[in-house]
Amino acid sequence: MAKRIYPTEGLATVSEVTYQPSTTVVQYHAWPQRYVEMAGTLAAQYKLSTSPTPGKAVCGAYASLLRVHPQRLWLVGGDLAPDVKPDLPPDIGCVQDLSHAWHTIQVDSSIASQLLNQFVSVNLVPQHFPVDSVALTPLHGIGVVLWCRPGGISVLTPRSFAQSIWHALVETRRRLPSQKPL
Amino acid sequence: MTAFRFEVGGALDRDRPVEFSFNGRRLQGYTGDTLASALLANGECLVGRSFKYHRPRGIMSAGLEETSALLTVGRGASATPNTLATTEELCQGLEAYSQHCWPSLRFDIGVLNQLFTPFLGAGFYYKTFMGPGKTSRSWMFYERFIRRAAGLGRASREPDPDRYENVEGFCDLLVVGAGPAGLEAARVASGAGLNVILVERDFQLGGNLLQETVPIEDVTASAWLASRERDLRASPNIRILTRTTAFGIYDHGVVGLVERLQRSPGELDNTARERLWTIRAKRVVVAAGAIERPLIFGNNDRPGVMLASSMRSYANRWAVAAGKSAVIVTNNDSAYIAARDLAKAGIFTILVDAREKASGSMVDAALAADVEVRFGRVPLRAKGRNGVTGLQIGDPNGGHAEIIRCDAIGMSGGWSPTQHLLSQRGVRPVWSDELAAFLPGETREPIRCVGAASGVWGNDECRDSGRAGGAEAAIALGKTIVKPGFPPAGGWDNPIRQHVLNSIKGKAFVDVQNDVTLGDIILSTSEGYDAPELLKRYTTLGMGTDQGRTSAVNALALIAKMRGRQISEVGTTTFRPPFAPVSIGVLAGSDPGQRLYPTRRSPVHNASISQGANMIESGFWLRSQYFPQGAESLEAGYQREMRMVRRSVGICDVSSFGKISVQGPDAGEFLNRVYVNAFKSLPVGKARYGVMLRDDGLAMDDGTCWRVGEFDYLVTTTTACAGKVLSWLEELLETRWPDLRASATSVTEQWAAISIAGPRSRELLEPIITGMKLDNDAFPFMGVREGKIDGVDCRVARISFSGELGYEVYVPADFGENTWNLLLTGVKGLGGGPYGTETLDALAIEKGHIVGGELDGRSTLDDLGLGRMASGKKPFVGSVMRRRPELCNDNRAQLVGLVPVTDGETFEVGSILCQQQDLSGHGLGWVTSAIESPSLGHWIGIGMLNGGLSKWEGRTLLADNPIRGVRYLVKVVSPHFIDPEGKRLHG
Repeated sequence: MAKRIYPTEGLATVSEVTYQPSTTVVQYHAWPQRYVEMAGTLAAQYKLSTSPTPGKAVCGAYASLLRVHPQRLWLVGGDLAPDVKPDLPPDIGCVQDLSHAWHTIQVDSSIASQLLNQFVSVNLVPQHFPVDSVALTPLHGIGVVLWCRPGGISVLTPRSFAQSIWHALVETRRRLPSQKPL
Repeated sequence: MTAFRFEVGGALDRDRPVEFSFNGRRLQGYTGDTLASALLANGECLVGRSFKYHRPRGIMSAGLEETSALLTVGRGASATPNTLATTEELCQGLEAYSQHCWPSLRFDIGVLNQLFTPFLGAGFYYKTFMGPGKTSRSWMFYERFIRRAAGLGRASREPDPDRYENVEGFCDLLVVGAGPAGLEAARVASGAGLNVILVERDFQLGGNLLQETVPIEDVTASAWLASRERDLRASPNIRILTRTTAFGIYDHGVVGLVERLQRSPGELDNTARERLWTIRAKRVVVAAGAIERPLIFGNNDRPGVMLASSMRSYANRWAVAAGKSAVIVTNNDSAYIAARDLAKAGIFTILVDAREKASGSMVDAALAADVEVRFGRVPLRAKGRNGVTGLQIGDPNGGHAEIIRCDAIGMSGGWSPTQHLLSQRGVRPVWSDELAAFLPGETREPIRCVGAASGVWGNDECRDSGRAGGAEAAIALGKTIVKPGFPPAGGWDNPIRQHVLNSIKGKAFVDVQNDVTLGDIILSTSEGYDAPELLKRYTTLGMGTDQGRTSAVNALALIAKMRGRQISEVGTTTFRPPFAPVSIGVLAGSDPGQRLYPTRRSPVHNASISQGANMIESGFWLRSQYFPQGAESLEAGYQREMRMVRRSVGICDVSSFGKISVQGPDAGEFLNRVYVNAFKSLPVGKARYGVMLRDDGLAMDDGTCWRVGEFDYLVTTTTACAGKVLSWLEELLETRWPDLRASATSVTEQWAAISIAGPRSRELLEPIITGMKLDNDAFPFMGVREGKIDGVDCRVARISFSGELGYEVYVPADFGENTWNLLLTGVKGLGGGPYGTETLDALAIEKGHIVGGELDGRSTLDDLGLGRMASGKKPFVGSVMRRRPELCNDNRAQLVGLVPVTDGETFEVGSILCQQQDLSGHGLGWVTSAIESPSLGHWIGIGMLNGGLSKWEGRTLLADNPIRGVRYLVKVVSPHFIDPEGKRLHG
């Protein structure tokens, strides 16, 4: 079996900015008028207490659902359990595996808002962007998904841009000590 | 200690002297000085030369309104021209230089310009270089001399060595200005629980309080300020930004700030020089104060002539005497405070008031300080050349002239509230005759001007105004708080005497920075340029770094007087961002150079690099252009790679091609509507070439579409159009056909794509891939199959744009490099190798495929020779509009092939195609692509030609490239140069 090679392999690192390999990203898209049905189906399928509202995530034992679009949910997590097969009845919506398309860079909560607010125009301080918040926003001109988790903020970034975003975050992180905290 | 520095006083740290230099001379100041205060303290009154006439100029103000003291700070790459000496914080090792003078400041050859003063009036350039009988040639010739003789500082040509940062910020309330009004607004709002950002341009908080000597709330102004600052800094929900200028305000409460960080050369190496803040504020309070206006009289630009309040600032804040004997000329009460403080500081002071009389506390205070007051007199002309030696005054009609000996002149012609930020939002100010000032107009945006920015003059009233502004913001944002009333504008005991105009003697400047004189205003107004916007462009008044801060109202008053109207009837100019100069570096941000834009890297980027690929930018992508062997040139490289593909097999990374997954029960119907040809009926496991049109019937993009499942299609696009096509599909689904059960998702990032081309392609793929047969019957041309490579799921389509047997292999992106390496090993064993985009396009050109330059937004399907693809059985986007008569015209530019008539002749892309006897106009067409074909042994090209192949096949045309001066003869042929029957393709 071939080995996965990640876009940030071999690049310089800093402790608060880490790359998260093997992230599963599956997109569920509901047909018109079928979103509620889809969200309910998926919440039950992944044993989640509820389905996420816009701009929010709901986390389960091994995967989370992120509301990234009025008609779309993203299932994000580590490697899915073998018995879990992303599926959806075709009359409700469709499923698209994006696990190789979107890669996750995790920014530690200690510097997350200070670092990321050098790039994005979403207020990321914890009061405004608490845990389980989700936002789609440009970062360095690239559309990314920000997801606040207990340990920090995950930046889901398109694979081809991952190296550029990694460089931008790591380089900026190195300069942060010169700044006052936001 | 110098003759100009007081022994005591000022907000200076005298225990921390600061060394700096001016024009190479080493001088000393103190921590807390500005460059201007330090220069004055060292007796440097002459600091620069003027824009046009090279007149000697000194320091005219103590703040951002400075018009004259523009210096270059730093040297070499770090040099910053046009730095305001009045706002530049003095720091150790600072180097400042006068600009726009040669060979020296005191002996400047440029003063010869003054000999031509009669010819350099308003509209000089328009009158001299433009109009009937004059050509732009004369301007082209003289421009360089004029630009050398006039202007401000020069930017360094070297790359900026400094670093900059961009930060996004958020708050409930942004307070601009930290004088008494701003401090109180911030205190009240933060006390009510708002999240506040307080911005101050200066390096100290306080604004006018920094030079105030009158108590406030029964304590000294400095004690009051210290108390407020302590409270604010202790507040958890307020951020204070000093050295920060709010330069622009935009939609939805977005405000641009520039924070200056680096305090001295070489200090704080890791610190950026400036930081650009983009603040999103729910409400904005503008407490930016007011700017004192100069008076217009002869030689009012001489070094030593200064705004009265600035003389007071230098005396009180920086313990610097602007002179030993001062005359203050005024038309309002505020100058009495300045005169009082100067007199108290030991400067002999005479106050000349244009009004016949004045009384009240301010007047009494000045008189008590032994200020000599002359009522009913106005300034006529300053005496002296490189400094002031006296002032001629008289009555407003020029009578009773007398000369007062002095070495400094303070001017106070009234005050202009600083409401540029409000003006940037399109809010028209309202003229107040009573205050002779523009006051903030009404706005429905959550912006409030307070303090002097709203025309409130007294410190106590400014404080109250700020409190009201802070409370108003808190209430508006849902806090429960008692809202005090806003104090009314004004605050003087005596009315101002508006717009003193008198018998001017000598050159009197309205806009000192741009050398615009009273005579210029009179001339341009009399020539019909009598509206503020016209006058600005005709005379340059209000341009430059000061943007009319000190000149606008005086100019409007002059226009009004000449037109016999009220100022309120004349109108104003609209202030636009930036309020103050902003360095280009901070706008460029933290990642200039190669990281200014992000870069897209393919999943096999590193593997291509390791094979020696020469990378080329293609949009944001970095793609392998070719794989040079040794010092091989691009031309030699792509021809070698083409021969390799035609003879054996090659592999090419095509991961950058756009890939869009279209899914859903209605996906086929959706694609039927989007593509010109049918896709609903495309069998699963098949691909089809398709073209999309725009609504106007012109071609948008081409590519293949694969049906990989009953409800699952994969649309491929060109690299350049990937984003455009996805947006287009999403727009169609969301706006035109929202009822369709179809979804379009970019999967460009999901898949690594590798193109295999050449007669030995099958041999390459067979040992690597499992789960599929590759023979012609099992896997025909345009078939799509799924299998595995090294245990990884893959999709393979038998597609070719090269004219050879070919496949496109898709694997999940993280396995791309592994797959590439497997294929690379195999391809080398077959005598092949990797090839780049140059070869990819060249192969397509040989085959007669369009490669991008032909899809320029002007071509129709028929122009490209693809008209037969269009379905007549179904409507599709553009199907109606493509039938417009003009788009069906047989004489439109159509795709043709081109070969040189002369052996060995090369081609030039962009050449214009003409008949040999008619080399004129836009010609008959143009060359879009050209390569040297190793298969044919000569250059070939494709192009667009009016009438196309049916009209011109076999005929000879002249190709002319007027840019490069190249002409050659070409023969028009079919664009299908290689294997037109497709035998190799289906092999």
